[in-house]
Amino acid sequence: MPKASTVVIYGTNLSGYRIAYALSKLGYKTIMLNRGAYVDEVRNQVLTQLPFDLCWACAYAPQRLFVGLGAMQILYNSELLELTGTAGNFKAKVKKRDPFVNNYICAECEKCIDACPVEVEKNGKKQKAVYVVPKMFWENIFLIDEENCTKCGKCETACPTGALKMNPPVEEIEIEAGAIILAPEFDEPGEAELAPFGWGRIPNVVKSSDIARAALATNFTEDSFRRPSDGKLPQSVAIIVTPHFNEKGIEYENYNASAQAVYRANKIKEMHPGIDVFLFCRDYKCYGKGHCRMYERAKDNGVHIIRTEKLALSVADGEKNRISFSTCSTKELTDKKTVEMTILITGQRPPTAMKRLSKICGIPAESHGFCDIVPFTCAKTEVNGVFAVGEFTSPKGNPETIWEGYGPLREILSWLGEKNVAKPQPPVLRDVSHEEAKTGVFICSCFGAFSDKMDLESLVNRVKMFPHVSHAEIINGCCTPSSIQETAAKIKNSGVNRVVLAVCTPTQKLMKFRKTVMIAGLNPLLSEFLRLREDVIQVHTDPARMEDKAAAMIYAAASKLKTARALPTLMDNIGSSVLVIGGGPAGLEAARYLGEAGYDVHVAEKTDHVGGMADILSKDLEGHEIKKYMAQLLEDIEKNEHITIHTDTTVTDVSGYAGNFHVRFETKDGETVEVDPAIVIIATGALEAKTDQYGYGKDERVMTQLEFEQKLAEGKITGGHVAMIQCVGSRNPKKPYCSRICCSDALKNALTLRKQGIDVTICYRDMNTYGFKDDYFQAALKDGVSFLRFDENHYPKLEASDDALKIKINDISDGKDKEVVSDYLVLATGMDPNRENNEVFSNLFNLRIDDDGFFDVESCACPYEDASKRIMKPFELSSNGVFVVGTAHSPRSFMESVMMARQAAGKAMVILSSGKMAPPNAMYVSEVDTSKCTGCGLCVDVCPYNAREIDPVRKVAVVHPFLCDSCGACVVACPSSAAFLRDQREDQLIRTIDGLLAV
Amino acid sequence: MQTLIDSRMTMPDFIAALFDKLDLAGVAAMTKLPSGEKAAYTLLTDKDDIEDCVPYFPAMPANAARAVSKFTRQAPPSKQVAVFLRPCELRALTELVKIKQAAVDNLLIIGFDCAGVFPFSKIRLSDELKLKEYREAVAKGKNCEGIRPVCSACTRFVPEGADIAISFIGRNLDEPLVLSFPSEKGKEAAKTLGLDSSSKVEASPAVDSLAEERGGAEKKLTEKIEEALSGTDGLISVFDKCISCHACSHVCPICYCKNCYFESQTFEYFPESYFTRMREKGALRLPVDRVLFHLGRLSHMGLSCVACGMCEDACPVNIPVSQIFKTAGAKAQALFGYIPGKNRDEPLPLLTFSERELEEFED
Repeated sequence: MPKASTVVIYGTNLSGYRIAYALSKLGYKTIMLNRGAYVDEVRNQVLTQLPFDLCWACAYAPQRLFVGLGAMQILYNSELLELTGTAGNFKAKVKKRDPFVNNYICAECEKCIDACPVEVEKNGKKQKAVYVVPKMFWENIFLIDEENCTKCGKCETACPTGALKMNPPVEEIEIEAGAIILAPEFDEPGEAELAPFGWGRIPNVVKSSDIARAALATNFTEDSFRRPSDGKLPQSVAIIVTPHFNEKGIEYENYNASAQAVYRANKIKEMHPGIDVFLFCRDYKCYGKGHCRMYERAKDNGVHIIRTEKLALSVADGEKNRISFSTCSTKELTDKKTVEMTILITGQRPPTAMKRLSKICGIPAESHGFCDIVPFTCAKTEVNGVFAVGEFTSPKGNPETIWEGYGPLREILSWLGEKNVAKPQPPVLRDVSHEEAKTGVFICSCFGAFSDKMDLESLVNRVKMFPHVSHAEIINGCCTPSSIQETAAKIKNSGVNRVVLAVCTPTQKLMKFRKTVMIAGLNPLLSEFLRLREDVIQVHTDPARMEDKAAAMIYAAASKLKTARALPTLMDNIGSSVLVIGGGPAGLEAARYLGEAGYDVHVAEKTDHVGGMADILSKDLEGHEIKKYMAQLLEDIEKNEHITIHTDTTVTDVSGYAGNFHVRFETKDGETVEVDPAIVIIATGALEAKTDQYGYGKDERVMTQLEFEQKLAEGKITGGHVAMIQCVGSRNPKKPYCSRICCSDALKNALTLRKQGIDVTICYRDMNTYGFKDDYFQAALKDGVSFLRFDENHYPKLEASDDALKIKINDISDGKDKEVVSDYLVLATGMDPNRENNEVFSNLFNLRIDDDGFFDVESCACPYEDASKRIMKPFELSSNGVFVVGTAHSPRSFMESVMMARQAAGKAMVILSSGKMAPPNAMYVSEVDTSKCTGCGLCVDVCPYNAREIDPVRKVAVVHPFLCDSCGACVVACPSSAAFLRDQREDQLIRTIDGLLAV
Repeated sequence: MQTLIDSRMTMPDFIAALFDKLDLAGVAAMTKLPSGEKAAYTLLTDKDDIEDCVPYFPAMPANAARAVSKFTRQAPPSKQVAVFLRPCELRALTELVKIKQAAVDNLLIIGFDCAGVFPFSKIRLSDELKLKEYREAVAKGKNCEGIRPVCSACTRFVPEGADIAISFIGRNLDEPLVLSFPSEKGKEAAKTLGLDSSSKVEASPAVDSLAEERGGAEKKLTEKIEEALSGTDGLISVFDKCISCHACSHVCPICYCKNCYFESQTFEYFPESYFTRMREKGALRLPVDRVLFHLGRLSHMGLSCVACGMCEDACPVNIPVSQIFKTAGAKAQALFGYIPGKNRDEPLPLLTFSERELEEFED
């Protein structure tokens, strides 16, 4: 039986969206089961996990485009009922109910609302039975309040586009699918789970996510931070990281909860320095990029960071919150702080969907109640063809979740049949270069909504008299499939070769407008889109003024178009090979992934063998067999004919850009190898940090954790007492980052030692056991490992004699001075970036190095931590085609490095599969008028995208359209006006300004 | 302060020695024209022609940096060329290097103290009287009557960035040259010329006295221009005379655009636009955009203006263009702590960015 090609995605977490996006790009159709009535009703973690008060909507935005292209289908109000068959030939029985209003043909004219006779009070505001959930990112969602709707049907009759259906039926359908992706949204702790913190019960206790949502709407301006009870600015605030204090098993801390707490604290402090901010946590777990720096800043800002084991919350004076917490010495709730508002930083609950999905799909849960994943795989469950991603499998942060979508791609593809989505052919465009400019103005009435507000007929008559306008008429719309076709036909019939569309706003519908113009056979560079709704109708009340403004805008646009020139979208063929720099586990994993996908991979390794640091590791904290995994990895690499390993190499030269790099490297024997990779993956790793503290290097009883682990593996540690000191030489202003792995390594070795009956003392500042790793901390406590906690300003002191190592420490958990007599002292020195190496590659590939010496996220296409728009953009849109993975990017564990490599490889595969690449901004790129260019190079210096260089022969600037972001920096810098944007030529701008002033 | 040495060579000897001892492709300097009345910046390749060389002839028909740009912009000369440059020409060259319009590779830059130049129309080689006055002023370290207004207010009359520097102020122009060798290239040349062990010479006090006089003149000039240009009315009245010939931009050494923005089609408006403007203003002077041209050029060139005075020299209607540029330029340059022509490695201010700057202009 041939395999099915469609993939069913259950749920709408960010990983699910990412997979849908990638599969669409690869030519496969996805059907997404959204359990809610609209895009964000069942919330994925996007807006609840907002350390950066960003909207993140771009992470799920692409779905609209792919729905439009037919590559994706979204079923609303849907539920998976039954799954039969096997991988490659699943049959999914699904229940669904279409939304009341089909967003893709809704013109947002609001005629349904006007027509609705029902009006009820909702949250103190009057609301019709048809109402709008405004701006779920850029679209408005129209919903029907079923409770109050009288089913009179007036809205359905009033709807000009037929988008509204009052009674969509509940349907059951069967989908044939090759693979199933389980991507349900996370479960946020509610009132019951947050009972110890009084959320929903005690006044002025709010969740951070509530503030994030409010802050997003107001951009966290001064007014957005108010306590709920009386709307006043609180003078004192407590911030509590709830997973640290909640009962075990209720909620789990995702990777940036602690960071989110300091972030919120800093934001409050920096806006209102007078507010007292108390941050309560057990440990400050700050292992993400820059998180330690945020901690340092919080200290500078005067945030009181209180580490405590226990706390409780009660009401004080009616509106205030009293937080009782344990002091060091007693473990009793003896200390108290009274604050005016409390912010809870919450974790993620085990998914409630697990039970049902477990039954339907036959997949087991792991011990915490999340979905179990086969170790060393991305998202593979025990059932072939069923994958689980995102916060469904463990507590996660947004960036991790997004990237995770790329990890399982290759395995998903292995269960799918032939491609079932074809790229649509773009319409043929007419060559108008020899025609005299003839501009047509098409004024949208928005299916009658605009003409109700202003006199469009009068506007059209006025516009017809303009000198540069040869045709003007009113259109119904150009945003629904039929109105797009209608308008395109009108444009064609009018015989014009320049088009002004006066419409609602291109912010929402840019692609539709461009499409309209292209169907009419014209290059979009020959068109202008005016915001008749946003700039005219919504800002004026006087119809006469509306008309004047609209006329001025149209006059300007028509003047501008007179000299517009059509230019084609550029297309570039891209190569099909990949260069991996660095033959450690991350590099090799990426190579295997892509090699097995059939792409040629070159691995350039500096030393004489591959394998990297993994040689020394045997198991990780969770007990995963690293040696076995590495042996398999090396075997797979060995037998894969697509993978070539070059050892003893130095990369000497790099040129080209994403899709078409040219890299030269030299071997030890002086041989030169040249490769032309489309994508480069940098996996050059990091170094174990060394120290000169505690007699390290002089006393052989003092060693690093890695050295100790080797000794332990060799059976050389057989008795005595082992002391460990964490955070040696790190998490201080000089090296303000956490190496992420040391606490796990210490626990791992301590647990092994305890099995042999050897005593262990761990001296630590914060136990950075994130996610499920906290289990091992609990296990170590149970197994009798003693933990002594010291203050960051008072590190333990060592007194070494021939007999023993005496470690003197002030234990802050009871305030007492203690002495540990030990035979070994193990230092957690952490990781250092390989500065020398990173410097070389940052120069060769034009990558930035971050403040800590690792590769920066902004400049590479693998932005694990950085939550800016870049997280969306570099993906499919070229960017620089260089991915930094593993510890070259930031400190991370073996497993995390390997997963990151697979994810980057998955992403690389999506790019490689296309074979062709259009510039990210299609025809809208900057260009050079070579007759004016003096080759001074000012534009080269200011271009943030390295999209410009001086042609060495002609001595003029040239643009790489594949790197150009159309930002216009070159236009500003160029003293000769030789740099211009194709759609904003200088004379066009002057004409626009002139035109606006003319009417 | 660079060590000054006595070269025991007069100017003609020195030029001859350059040809004899250094392997040169040529020498570029002011040279008499066949008419005998005027001189022009000339590239000489034949030693026999050097008797016509008059590097210190106090005229500037064109800023020599422009000339140097011509033969170095695309590629540096394959063989070394010795170029004589006045301090402001050298500064202009430095600015051109920054914008890749000139290169100094394979140039031996010979700079000399400058006592100023006369407006080009006011000086002839045969004007013995004027030249005598000039020589006396040089020897005394005084401003000579009749030199360009910006020259008499120029405080940067000692070369910056030369390989070989000739110290003239306070000395007789016909005496053996007093030299210094500020750069490695210069020191090398000194060795080849056999000047590395020559006797040392004291700096002339006339340098300081001239600097003082110029400083005072500069202050006065600034005050005068600031007053004349104050407010929109001042601006309009000063540029009232402008006939939009754009000669100032054509002779400017820094104005390097191939195709000036102000001469492009950009300002060729649609005919009806003129009527729109007229309707709004009641009257419209044609051609339009006269003050805009000067303000545009000020914003384009102000930061790099080396105050050479070419623009004012070329102005047919006597607008004090150069004095305006010097005054406005100095203010803009001070804002960025930028000294044009000082250092080839210092980037142009508009190419550098720091998060905290110009905060005084923020809201």
